[in-house]
Amino acid sequence: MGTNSRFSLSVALAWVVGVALFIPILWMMMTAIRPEHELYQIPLKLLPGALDWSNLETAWTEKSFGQYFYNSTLNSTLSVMFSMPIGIITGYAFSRFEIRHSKYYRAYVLFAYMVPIIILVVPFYLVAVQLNLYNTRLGHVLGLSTYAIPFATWVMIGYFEQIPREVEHSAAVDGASRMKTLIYILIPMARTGIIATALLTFILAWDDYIFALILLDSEHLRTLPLAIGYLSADYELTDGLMMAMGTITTLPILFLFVFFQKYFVGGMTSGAVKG
Amino acid sequence: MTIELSSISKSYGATQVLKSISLHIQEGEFVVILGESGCGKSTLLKIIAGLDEPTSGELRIASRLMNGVQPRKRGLAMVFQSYALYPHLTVAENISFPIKMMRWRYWYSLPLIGRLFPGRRQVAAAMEEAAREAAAKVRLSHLLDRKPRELSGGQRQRVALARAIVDGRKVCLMDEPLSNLDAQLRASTRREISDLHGEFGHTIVYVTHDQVEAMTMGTRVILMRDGRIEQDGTPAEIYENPKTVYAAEFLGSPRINLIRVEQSSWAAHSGGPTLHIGADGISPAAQGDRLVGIRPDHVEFVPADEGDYVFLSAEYLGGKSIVSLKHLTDGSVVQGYGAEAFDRTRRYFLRFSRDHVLYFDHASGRRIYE
Repeated sequence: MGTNSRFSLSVALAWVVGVALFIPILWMMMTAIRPEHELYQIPLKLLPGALDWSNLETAWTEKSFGQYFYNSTLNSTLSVMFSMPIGIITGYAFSRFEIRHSKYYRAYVLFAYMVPIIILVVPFYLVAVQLNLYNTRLGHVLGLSTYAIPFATWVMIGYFEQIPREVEHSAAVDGASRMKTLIYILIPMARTGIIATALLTFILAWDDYIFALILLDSEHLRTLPLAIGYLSADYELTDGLMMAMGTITTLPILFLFVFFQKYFVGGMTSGAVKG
Repeated sequence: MTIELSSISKSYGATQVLKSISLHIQEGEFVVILGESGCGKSTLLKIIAGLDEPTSGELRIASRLMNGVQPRKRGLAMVFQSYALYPHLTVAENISFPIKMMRWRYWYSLPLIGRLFPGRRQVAAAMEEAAREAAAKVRLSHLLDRKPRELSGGQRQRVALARAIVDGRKVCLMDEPLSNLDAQLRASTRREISDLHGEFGHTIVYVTHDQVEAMTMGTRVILMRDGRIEQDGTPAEIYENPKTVYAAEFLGSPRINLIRVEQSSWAAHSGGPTLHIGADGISPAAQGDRLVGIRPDHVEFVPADEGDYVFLSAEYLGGKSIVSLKHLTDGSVVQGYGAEAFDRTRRYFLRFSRDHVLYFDHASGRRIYE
């Protein structure tokens, strides 16, 4: 009885927190699909009286959010594809090789990830201009990766350290080179961790605003957060349209969380333990 | 393939784990490296496997110098204490992994087009065939599609064994492979490993701290102590002819009885235990501060009023018991076998034949020969 009531209390609390966190997102989505006139109606209607897709349509086509969505998806994916192999190999090296002063290198990796990006804005801009990477997709992907690589490395160190060394020794005796051990044994064993890290890296890139702001200029290269940033200054924009843009930006992440929930949970807890 | 170690030493920082070990292992031998934890036996095995490098000394396998050679190029197999199976692979894939490492090409694993490469089919077939064959040898044929986590400890152990014998590697290193099994399984697996050795004639280097495993399985036992070889010989040699007290105590269960006898007490028969050694009296080797060693199987307890041992306890083994008697004055315990009931009120003295007595110098622990 006692444990039961405590259990229901924690469930109730979870619901409260869950609802509190979800209401703004829900409100955003409902605003996006409400007819315009319902928005300012008093009393407020909780559920939309009718469905109106025009906001989403306008955002997607007229305001080129289709293009921005494509940019965001492509840049984030490229940054994941670029930083994960590096993160995996570096993380493996840190977890297994006896590197002189490796403690300091590790700290440096963490430091690279912890530096507030805003400090790096000017240097990044200058470097990008000098390398002719300013206003290119590659430039943005590389910018995202400077942030994603240390993150992926750091998380992967934790995952590799959980794998017992005897398994690796066994593979070595069985005829596997370092590379084969990594490919046939360690990466499959760390699969869950790799997927979680890749997803988190993807979200990190998806959420990026500052790199896009300082490295991209042309309209056709803009990513979703950058586009919203530019358009929010537009006074002709209706609230419904604004929320439609937000919905387009948020939904993919929401889907990722729903479909890959178990990996996220795994990734977060191991991150918590391993720092 | 022979394995030769000459003056192998290993230090971790200031601690010297192995102190100039020299050893020659012949083809087909079943060598058990026996010792307490921390004596360097596992380090020695790792050095042979190439998982660790010696600080100095030379290692040769099949006459080839192996210092600095990668483990995969040494042609050895190894069974680990934790079995070290690959958890994401099935039993069949685990067993055939060494073959995969030899013959599989990276591009065979490519999605879709990997199947188009001509060699892939053959290699896959060879792997399957080898896995089936090796699994049959260790009676695992019915479990080939399982994952390691679905197996019991004994089954995992057998997967590790199958993986070691799958591709015709003729040397197998084993690092305490039985220590995670329960007593019954340990006995049966012990026999299985011995059978495998008898049948396929592998050279086996087997590390353990369990003297029973050493005695029952090894064709040769190397007893190690503090990074040195204490004694090297067949199990019978070490058991019957230990060179030191340490070796005498390590092998045999129950342990050898050691009775300290100072010179004075030999003469006076007072203070220390009273010994009645056969009819021939005392050996000249017994002169001085000595430990007298006598295996429990050779001790006889004779009831007598002048005896100075009293009954302490008995462990029934079925048919006979291990009996412990305690010395009245110094409290030392002597064990032997007995069938009859012991009387707690009576006193006993010990009787044993001079042929079975081993003398050791008390200070150095070395054997003194008659």
